[in-house]
Amino acid sequence: MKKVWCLFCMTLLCWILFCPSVFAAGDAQVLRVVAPWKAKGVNIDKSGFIFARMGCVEMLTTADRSGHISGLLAESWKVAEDGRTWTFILKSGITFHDQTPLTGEAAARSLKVALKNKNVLSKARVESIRAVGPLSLEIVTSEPFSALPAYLGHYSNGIVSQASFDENNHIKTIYGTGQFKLASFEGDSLFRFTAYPDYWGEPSKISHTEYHAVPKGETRGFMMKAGQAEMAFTLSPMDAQQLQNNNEFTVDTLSIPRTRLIILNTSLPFFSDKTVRQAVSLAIDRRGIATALLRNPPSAAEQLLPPTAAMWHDPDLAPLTYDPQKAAALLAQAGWKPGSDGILVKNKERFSFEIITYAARPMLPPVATAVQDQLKKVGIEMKITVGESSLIPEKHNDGTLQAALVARNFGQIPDAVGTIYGDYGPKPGAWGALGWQSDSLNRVLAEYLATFDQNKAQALRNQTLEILQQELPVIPVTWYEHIVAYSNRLEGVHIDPYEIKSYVRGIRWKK
Amino acid sequence: MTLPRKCGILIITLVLVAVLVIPILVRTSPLDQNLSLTLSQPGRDHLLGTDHLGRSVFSRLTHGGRISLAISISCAAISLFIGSFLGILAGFREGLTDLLIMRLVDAALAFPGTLLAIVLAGTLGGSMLTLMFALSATMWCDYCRLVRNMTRSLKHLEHVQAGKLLGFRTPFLVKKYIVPEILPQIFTLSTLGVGRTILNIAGLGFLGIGLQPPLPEWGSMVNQGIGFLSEAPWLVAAPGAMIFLTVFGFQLLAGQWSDNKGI
Amino acid sequence: MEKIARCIALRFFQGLFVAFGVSTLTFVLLMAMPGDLAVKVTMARYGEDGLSNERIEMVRTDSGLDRSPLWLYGKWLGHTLSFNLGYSMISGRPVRDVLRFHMGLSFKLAAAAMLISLILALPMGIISGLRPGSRMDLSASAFSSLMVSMPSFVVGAFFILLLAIRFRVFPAAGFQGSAHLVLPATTLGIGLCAISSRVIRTAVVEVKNSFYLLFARIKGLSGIHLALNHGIRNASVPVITFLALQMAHVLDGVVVLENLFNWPGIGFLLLESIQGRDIPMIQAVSLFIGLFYVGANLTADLICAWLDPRVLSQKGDI
Repeated sequence: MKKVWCLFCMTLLCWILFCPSVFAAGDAQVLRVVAPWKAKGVNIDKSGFIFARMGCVEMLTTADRSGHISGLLAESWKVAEDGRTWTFILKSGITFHDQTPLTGEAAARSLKVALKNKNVLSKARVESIRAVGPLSLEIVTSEPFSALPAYLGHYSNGIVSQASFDENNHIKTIYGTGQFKLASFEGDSLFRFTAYPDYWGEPSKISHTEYHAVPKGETRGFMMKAGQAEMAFTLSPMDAQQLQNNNEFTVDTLSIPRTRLIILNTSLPFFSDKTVRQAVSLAIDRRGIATALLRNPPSAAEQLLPPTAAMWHDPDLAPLTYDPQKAAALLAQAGWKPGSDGILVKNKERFSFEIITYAARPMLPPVATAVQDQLKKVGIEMKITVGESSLIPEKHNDGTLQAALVARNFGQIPDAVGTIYGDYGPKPGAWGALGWQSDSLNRVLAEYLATFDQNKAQALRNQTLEILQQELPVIPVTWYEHIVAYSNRLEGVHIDPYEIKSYVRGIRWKK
Repeated sequence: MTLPRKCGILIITLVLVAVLVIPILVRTSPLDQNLSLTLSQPGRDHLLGTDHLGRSVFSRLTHGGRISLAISISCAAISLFIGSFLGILAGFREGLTDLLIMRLVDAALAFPGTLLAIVLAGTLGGSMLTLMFALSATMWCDYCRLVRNMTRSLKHLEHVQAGKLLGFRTPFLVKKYIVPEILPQIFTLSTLGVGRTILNIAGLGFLGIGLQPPLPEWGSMVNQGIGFLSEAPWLVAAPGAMIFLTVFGFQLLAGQWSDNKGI
Repeated sequence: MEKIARCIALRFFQGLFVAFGVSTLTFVLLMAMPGDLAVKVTMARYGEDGLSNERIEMVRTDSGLDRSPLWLYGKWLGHTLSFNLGYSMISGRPVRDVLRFHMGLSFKLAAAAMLISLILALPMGIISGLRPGSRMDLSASAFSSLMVSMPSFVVGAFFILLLAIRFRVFPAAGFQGSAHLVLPATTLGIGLCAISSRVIRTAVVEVKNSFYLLFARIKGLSGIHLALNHGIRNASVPVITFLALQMAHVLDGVVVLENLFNWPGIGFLLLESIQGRDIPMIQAVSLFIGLFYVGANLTADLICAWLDPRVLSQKGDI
């Protein structure tokens, strides 16, 4: 018996040792943000989005709601006659969180490390970066590249102080220039920030913020409803509707420059024909999907990018429509005849293909299932495979991909040319067109990147959109809805469709 | 036969009839969508309402049951055969064979089972076959341990020893003396196994690793319905109730023995 | 005594071998699966938006995926044998630090859940065991059958809706404080209790019907003395063996609940590193789970041998 008691006491002791913290009351004045994205260590190239969005690290440039680029840490910039040498002048009087001043040297080091990590700058044809004065730095590109300032707004170009790096140029800790400095973190899931009193602009009215990475969508909704968070990002449409009915919260839904689209392998016999791609597009009931599944009718994609991507949205472009009769007619015209099982046949080949999608973005599988049923009505068989998201780039790279439903972000660089050039230009990337090339598009894009004339640029953008709308190397289905819920205890909330600005900028507690 | 057992048999028979017969009688397809009629309430047209794509929940429930049951029953059968075979082998041969097989069991038990399911379903796509394989990969261990221990003790009984002395070959001895003794026990274990597998599939579905859409399956139906819990509770309640009933039925059928082994 | 030491040593080395085997098996499995590991690692590192072909090639060279699997395995072996465990392919952090963070949380959850389950299961099991067939026994049996038949995430979601959202007593999810522990530990604890209460009941029934207890009673020992000296001690042997297995299962088998409650335990880590094919991390986790499983079993056997030396002679042959 003594032995049993002894054992029991030891177990109890172990338990007490493992649970040292007592019930801690939450600090009511902490602004808690929940979002699905986990960090991957403390660094800029992989986890920079957290530090940029939480107002800890800032970039040289930023974009307003319509995608126009303005300076953030940069006061101004100019490009030399040759169109290749850029000089950026930094704002004066800015200090990092370790109290060292922002200099051209510090900015150049951050950008050089970013370039070495093959971030977006490596696509901007950047050749060299160097400080040319205490507050100025020079970037040279191999060819004229007008979109460079937009590229500098990407989070991976965040500027941190020299002391943030170790001798191998790895980030040790983060000293940014933003309104908030990093106070502590737990694993990759929780980051705590405190306001930086010596901020160069107007210091924040919020004293403490926390970033919670919560990958499961339902759980984010639960945390919001349980009063455990003041702001939640990327909620499901259903959670959004419930929170909307609750007078403690405000829900903002806006279409962002991210598009759910179907990538078609145009080297397959059925998709090589433009009319067939148009027929597939006509057979998709975007409005039905947007209304019934996504609860947001305006998110039906009438062209590649939504109106929030102002510069890259052409309101005069003839929209993508739903017309199954016309789709059937186009397919018949292309030589596809219904077979015995109702599936179209041409040259003894059934119109049947496999589409790959992934569950990491929760609405993709249901959208794929809806499209599957709509295509079946015009005699096209589409088989769905829900796998890991990496399956798509893998199969894209070895050419075995038949079709894929993805959510492609055109807004990570505020000028969508960054993604459009990389995806539909001369060397399409892993999320881009597959087997499709257009000389006219390549010409237009090359001209766009080399031009510094705003009026000409707009015309070229519209031409690009028109070619993509006509040729349909990818079929836009819906624009991504960015659903953000926030507590009514907050005021001054502005949601940035590009997600490059700080979430917390301008927010105050209501009195 | 005890009362709980009778109840168990009744419940399982009802579930089986519902799953096997109703899809033949009711001809609504579980895959037909109607985006203008999503999340409709249970009523005359659709007995259990419709889901987020306007598909009939009733039809999906009955068709889905076939898949759920097919996977879990075949999982139980696969593990039963593999586990019992290795168990008898280990128990009868002892020595090195026993050592190797039991360490294999240890390794399989210590192997994180979810890992296998995720890797397989993630790379090969969640077909029925991969799901079955992933789920049986650790299930056979229970059978193997049980059968091995029983065989070891049975082997030393006088009549088995006598048979051995008479020169009967091992397969004959196993068939004649061992199998009849272990059969009831492993059947009970597999009855429980079927229930557990249904729950495991549901858990995998919750992590986003399950069957490919549009195939209906109870676990994935619950998972898809969770998002609509407050406006369309029947989307979770119906498949949830079916999972619960089936597992509960198998629990009852397994009877008191399950208590003894704590499985 | 010598026999015990030999037995322990033998078990220990076999356990080490098993844990090592599991980790190696994991490596073989990861390598044998189709697909380009470099793409998966890049995707996990930089996210879907940050993926580019240049980056895939960069990752391939800097994480050694362009070399032969044997080289990778050798590298892992070297790291493991020097108790260093290497660096994550995704975050670049030392595997040891990451493992410690997640392990701590997992242990916390497991300990709390075990405590809750024992608080419930001990009285339930003992009372039902002392009076099999009584009303108490039947209702305990019905309760555990009910709990065993429900997916754990449904029970968890129910607790969240009721206690976190409706009444706001406990936080719905998170891992910062002890208050966050309550809901996941309760959900898990109830699930564990459903099973362990039945094991306890059986152990009690068996002891109650045993000859030695009958003999002690004939000797004229009083009820309390009887229970304290003979009952509990004998009944605890099978219970402890079972609890050790259950504990090992709680570490890696509760990934669903960890996800629901956003409790980044070891299951969470494993799920994430598998999705990113973070080979050093996956191998370290599976090695650790294997070691823990073996260790828990060994500890349970030792405790049993200590409580009831007869066990040793039965288990003498491992």
